Amino acid sequence: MLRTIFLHTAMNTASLLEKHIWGTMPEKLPDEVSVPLPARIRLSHAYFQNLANANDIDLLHVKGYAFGTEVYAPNRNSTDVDLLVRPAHVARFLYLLKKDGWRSLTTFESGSIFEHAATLYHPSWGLTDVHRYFPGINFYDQAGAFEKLWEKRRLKQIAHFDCYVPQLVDCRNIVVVHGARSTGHGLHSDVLHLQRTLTDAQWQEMRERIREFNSEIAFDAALGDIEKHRGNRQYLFWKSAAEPTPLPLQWLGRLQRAEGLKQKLHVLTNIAEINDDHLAMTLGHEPTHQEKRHLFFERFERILRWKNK
Amino acid sequence: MEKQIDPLYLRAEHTAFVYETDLDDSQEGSDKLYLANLLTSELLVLEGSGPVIWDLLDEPKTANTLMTQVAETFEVSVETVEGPVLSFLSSLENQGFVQH
Repeated sequence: MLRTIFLHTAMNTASLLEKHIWGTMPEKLPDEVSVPLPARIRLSHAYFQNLANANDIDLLHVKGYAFGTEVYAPNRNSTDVDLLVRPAHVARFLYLLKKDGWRSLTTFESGSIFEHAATLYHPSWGLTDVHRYFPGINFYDQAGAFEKLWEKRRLKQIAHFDCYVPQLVDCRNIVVVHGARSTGHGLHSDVLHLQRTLTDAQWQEMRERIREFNSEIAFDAALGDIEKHRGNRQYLFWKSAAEPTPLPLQWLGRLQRAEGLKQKLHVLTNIAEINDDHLAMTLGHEPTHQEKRHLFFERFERILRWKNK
Repeated sequence: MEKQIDPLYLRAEHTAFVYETDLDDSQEGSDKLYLANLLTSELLVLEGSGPVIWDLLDEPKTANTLMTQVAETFEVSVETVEGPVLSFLSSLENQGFVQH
């Protein structure tokens, strides 16, 4: 439960002599008089690190204020905290969060087609995305990818609290491969910023590092060079993530990327099912049966329209 | 006669804080400080002399030392700040933001 308390200690040299001002503290104000989002997010980074320290959870703070102006353009705002958790620690971490008042908004399966992050909400801290892997960083060996990032981690103060973040070159690569998910026209603005500010040598260092993760495809997709990977089993998947692509081709990309029968069946099931969490967020309310039915059939109509083009 | 030991006050380990001026350049001149108790998820907003006292607690010190330093900072007598500083410390301690 959030208790925002305003300590009314507004003092300056002149008013200090007016003792009654001191005498008014502490004064409770309603919850809506709260901490602004940019401060709240920074403080919640510290909260997560403290929780992780106390429970031997390995996690890395990624994107947003954790990376800050080392990687992003100045004055870029964030709306949530992104955490990359050692895959073997994810279940325990989610259990601890729920015990501490966090509510699940989406599961890994319902969050996005990448199935990489679960979104949770807490009335004091706001929103967080708990990542079990980072899309674009070695999908086929998620535990190994985390270990590689973890080995090179560093401490960075966020809200005057020591938090673990990846080494700088990994931060830059994470921002680049994240840019491959933009499905827009042209390169992502964060990638453009890196192109404007980094030297050729720094890009070379990033490329060498991304090779260690066998993850050049997302890196190149973000830079508009996906065609270099034609024939790769992840080609269609990343092409459809980086560029506007008809829905059936997106599904085909997901199927091609999936490894083995079990994963392919999982993708098929996921495609067929209506994503209640996603639909609820789009509509702004719990979807009705009618709305779910409409979405289910509307997808097949889109396939027919695409085939008839 | 037994000598009374003056306890040292210090910031609790499980606290984090952000100055409003850290958030962006447009906040220049603001004296607000946002403080979090990472164990209880409680948040505080400090203004005016609150952040000054918090800054002075960057290393452990007795209430007497703290009161002297606050008085020096605001160029007033120790007697003037004694009550408010002790009350402020007690409030922060009760909410787990400082310990001694």
